[in-house]
Amino acid sequence: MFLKNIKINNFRNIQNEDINFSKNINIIYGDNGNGKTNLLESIYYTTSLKPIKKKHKLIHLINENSKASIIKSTFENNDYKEIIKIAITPEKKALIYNQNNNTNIQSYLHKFKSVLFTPDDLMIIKGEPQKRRDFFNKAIFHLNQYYYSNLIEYNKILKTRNKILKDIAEGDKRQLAILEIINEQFTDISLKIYQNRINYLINYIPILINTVNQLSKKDFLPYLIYKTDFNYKNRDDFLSKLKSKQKREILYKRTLTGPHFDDYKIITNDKEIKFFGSQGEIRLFTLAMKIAHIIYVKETTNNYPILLLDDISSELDSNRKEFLFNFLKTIDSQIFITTTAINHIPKLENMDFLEIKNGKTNWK
Amino acid sequence: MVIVERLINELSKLPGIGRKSAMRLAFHLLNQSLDDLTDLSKAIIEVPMNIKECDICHNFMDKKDNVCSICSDNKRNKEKVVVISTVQDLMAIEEVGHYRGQYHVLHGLISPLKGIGIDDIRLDSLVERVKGESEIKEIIFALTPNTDGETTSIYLKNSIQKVNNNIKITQIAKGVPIGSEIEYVDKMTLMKAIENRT
Ligand SMILES: Nc1ncnc2c1ncn2[C@@H]1O[C@H](COP(=O)(O)OP(=O)(O)OP(=O)(O)O)[C@@H](O)[C@H]1O
Ligand SMILES: [Mg+2]
Ligand SMILES: [Zn+2]
Repeated sequence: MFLKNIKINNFRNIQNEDINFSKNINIIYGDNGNGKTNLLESIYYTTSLKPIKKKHKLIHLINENSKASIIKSTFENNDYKEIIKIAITPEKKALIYNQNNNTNIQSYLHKFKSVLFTPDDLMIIKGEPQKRRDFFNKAIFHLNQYYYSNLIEYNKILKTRNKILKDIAEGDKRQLAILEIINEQFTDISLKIYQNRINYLINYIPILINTVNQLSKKDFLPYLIYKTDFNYKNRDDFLSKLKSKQKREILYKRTLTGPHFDDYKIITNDKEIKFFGSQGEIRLFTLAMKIAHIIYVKETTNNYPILLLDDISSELDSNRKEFLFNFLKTIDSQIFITTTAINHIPKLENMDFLEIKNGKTNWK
Repeated sequence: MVIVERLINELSKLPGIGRKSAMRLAFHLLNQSLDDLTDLSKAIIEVPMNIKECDICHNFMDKKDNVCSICSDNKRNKEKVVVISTVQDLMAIEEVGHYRGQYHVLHGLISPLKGIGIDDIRLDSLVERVKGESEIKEIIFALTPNTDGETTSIYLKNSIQKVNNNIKITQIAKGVPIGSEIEYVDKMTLMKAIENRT
């Protein structure tokens, strides 16, 4: 499946564009502030129903001289077409998928997937564990639609548990009996999430190692450690460890352990890349993490994500760039790449160039 | 128009009634005769004046009776008790007509996030009912299959087993789609669910 056409109306600085894309590599170029990221965002929005920057509101997406924005896209899958219309007003967004405005969002998002790489993604490696969990949560959802429901259930049970710990701390001893029951529920859902994470990582890590080595001339010897508080293999162990923390948890009035504290440690050459990697190395590694995910999804389903690369060429040296583009050529996914200058990018066959100026596009 | 506005506000507090429906209802009422309106308001006001909870099962009942019509019906099986969270659930099962045992209405589920605790719903009186030489042989949970429903049934199961170890405790399981409210499940499914309990 690939994005064949997009019609954009009043999205950010793009007022009225109708663009046919190539199913291979689409290079979007133009000077700073002309709308490259905005165009990428219109595709990202279609496939995630979220703006690129978490804090942006609907009103920021709509062209400042307009009251609403409409993005209409056509995906092609062998011979049949999928038509998606997204209407954005300051109050709400509406999704119309194949003329149906009652689509189940979870299965829609599972079907139309994209993986975005932006300069801010360095934070997946450098930032707090939450950033890594977010990355892997989304990745696992791409392969397992039900993972998302598991996370929602986990969050609800976690919230309930925290409320009960608070009640007990404030003197409501009758809640101790309820805590026992919630502990069982907490254990079961934690084990499920752990299993989903492990199933993903078992297949993902070998692909990641291979991708990192393809992208760097150095032999990096990367590996990834899944860090967790528990021995999840044994339900009784989990429960007793959970109980052993209970006194402190009541003191702190919240749950101090569980999958929401898990982390993923990334090691290259025996050192944690977070502390030892150069800027360029970290960028390359984040990129490898995303590309490896796409390869994994593609190997498992025939419905692979679109790759959106915003401004990748700025920090990579020419050798790395060469490796990267040679590798991109082989993964056979639809790719969108933005850059300020075409000469930053090695020329390949299967590459089409779209210029953007002041929100207006032109194929070259 | 302030008075009409007040009526619209009151009507829109009802479940399932948005502002638009409230307006439609209000203007419909405005066109009714005074007699009809008096009948309607009497019917409404008489509910809290004449109704209370049954001391045994907590079903709603006439204030002037001693126990509710189900608990006082001697033709019904006294050995089985279906536990439900609302009177609507009870009515849904009664409408099927297939089940001929007793009930216990909890009037809610344990829900820590909503601040509903053990003392806020009718749990203790069920435990009282099964204490000692009770006629009850089987308790059947028919609670909404979400985490609150699960918490409530496990808590009750534990408390019941503490006072009476001979009672069979079962759960309607098959046929009730996960996440569905019992009231909305179609009647055939509900009947099957009560037959196939695990
Ligand atoms: N809602 C909006 N309405 C109109 N213009 C907007 C809106 N949101 C953003 N813009 C403008 O869009 C312009 C282009 O933004 P964009 O981030 O796409 O540029 P870019 O081509 O990616 O630039 P760079 O090379 O610096 O990354 C900005 O100047 C911004 O002011
Ligand atoms: Mg940009
Ligand atoms: Zn009764």
